[in-house]
Amino acid sequence: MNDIVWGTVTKVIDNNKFEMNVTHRKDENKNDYADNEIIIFTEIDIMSIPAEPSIRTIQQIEDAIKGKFIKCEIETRSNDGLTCKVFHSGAGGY
Amino acid sequence: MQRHWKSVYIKKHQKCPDLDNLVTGVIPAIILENALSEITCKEVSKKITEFHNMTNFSPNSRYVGESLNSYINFKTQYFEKTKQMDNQLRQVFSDIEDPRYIMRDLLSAIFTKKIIPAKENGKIYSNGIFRIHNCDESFPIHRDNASFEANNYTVSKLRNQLSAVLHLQTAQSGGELILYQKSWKKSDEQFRFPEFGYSDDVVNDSKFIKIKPNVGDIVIINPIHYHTISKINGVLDRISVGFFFGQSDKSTLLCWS
Repeated sequence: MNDIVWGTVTKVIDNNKFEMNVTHRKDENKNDYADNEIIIFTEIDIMSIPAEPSIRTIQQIEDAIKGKFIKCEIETRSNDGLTCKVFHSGAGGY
Repeated sequence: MQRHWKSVYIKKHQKCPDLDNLVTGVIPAIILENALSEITCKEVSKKITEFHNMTNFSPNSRYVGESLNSYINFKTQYFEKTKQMDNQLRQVFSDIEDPRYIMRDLLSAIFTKKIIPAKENGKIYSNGIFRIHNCDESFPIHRDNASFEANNYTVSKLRNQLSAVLHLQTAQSGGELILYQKSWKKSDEQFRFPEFGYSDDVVNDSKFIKIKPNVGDIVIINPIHYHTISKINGVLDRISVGFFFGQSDKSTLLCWS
C-alpha cells in the first residue's frame, strides 16, 4: 500500500504541480511528511480537470483544487517534491 | 455578531418575510410548526423504514434517496441513480403524497415564491433525501456548501443555499440540531476530516443554539453555519426528510439534494 496524506492545496505552481498543507497522514505510512509539501501529480481524479494532461491549464487546476481538501497517494519522493496520484477526498457536508 | 440569535416560528400558511434574514445570518432558523400531522409523519416513517429494510442498501446506509455530495466526481451516476430512486419512491408513496412535494408546496406558500426541482441539461436533481439515524451513530460537525464542494454541478451557481428538514420521527431523547453562530470560511478546510465533516476545533468557543426536532415541524436553516446532531438516545430512530434550496431569481427557488 502506498503512503497517503490529506490536506489543502495552498498554491498551484504548474499544470502538474502544487503546494499542499498536509493536515492528515495515514497511520500506517512508512515515511514522514512535512506540514508543507510540493506535489507533482501523475493522475488527478477531479471531474472538472481534463484527464488529458496536455490540455490542462494552471487556471483550470486553480479553479478546481485551490483551497480544497484532497487526498494524495504517494508514489515516490524526489528533490522536486512528492510524485502522487491525487483524489477528491470525503465531504465537508452533504 | 447578533446578541440574540433567535429562530423565527411560523404557522402553516402564514407568510414569512425572513428569508433574507436567514440568508444573511441575522436569524438562525425558520421553523414551520406542525407542517404535517403526527399521523401523516407516522405513516411516512413506516413506509420509508419498510422500504429501507427490504431494499438492498449498503449495510451502513442510513439514507433513502440520493445526495449529490456522494457523487462529486460521478455526475452521470448521480442523475441515473436519482431517476431510479425517484421511480422507486413513486411506488412507496403511491397511496399517500410524497412528503417532499408537500414540503415544496408549503415553502412556496410561506415564502411566496415558486419552488421547483433544479435541472441540469434536462436532467432533474434529487427531490430530497430521507435520513434514518440511530443511537450508534456519531455526527461530525459539518456545513453544507455546494458552491465550494460541488462546483461542477449547476446548483453551485445559485445565489445561496438553504436547507429544509421535516422531522418525521424523533428519538426518545437527544437528536437535537446544534447550530453554531459561525459560518464556514475557506481557511477552515485545515480542520477537515478525511471522510466527512470537521474537527470540533473549527467551532471552538462559538455560540450555538439547540433546536428540538418536533415531529411535523420543518426546520429551515442556512447550512453554511456549522451544525451537527446531538447524541441520539433510546431505541427509536430519528427519521427526517430534507432538501436544499436556493434562489435562481427573485421569484424562483430551486431545490435539490
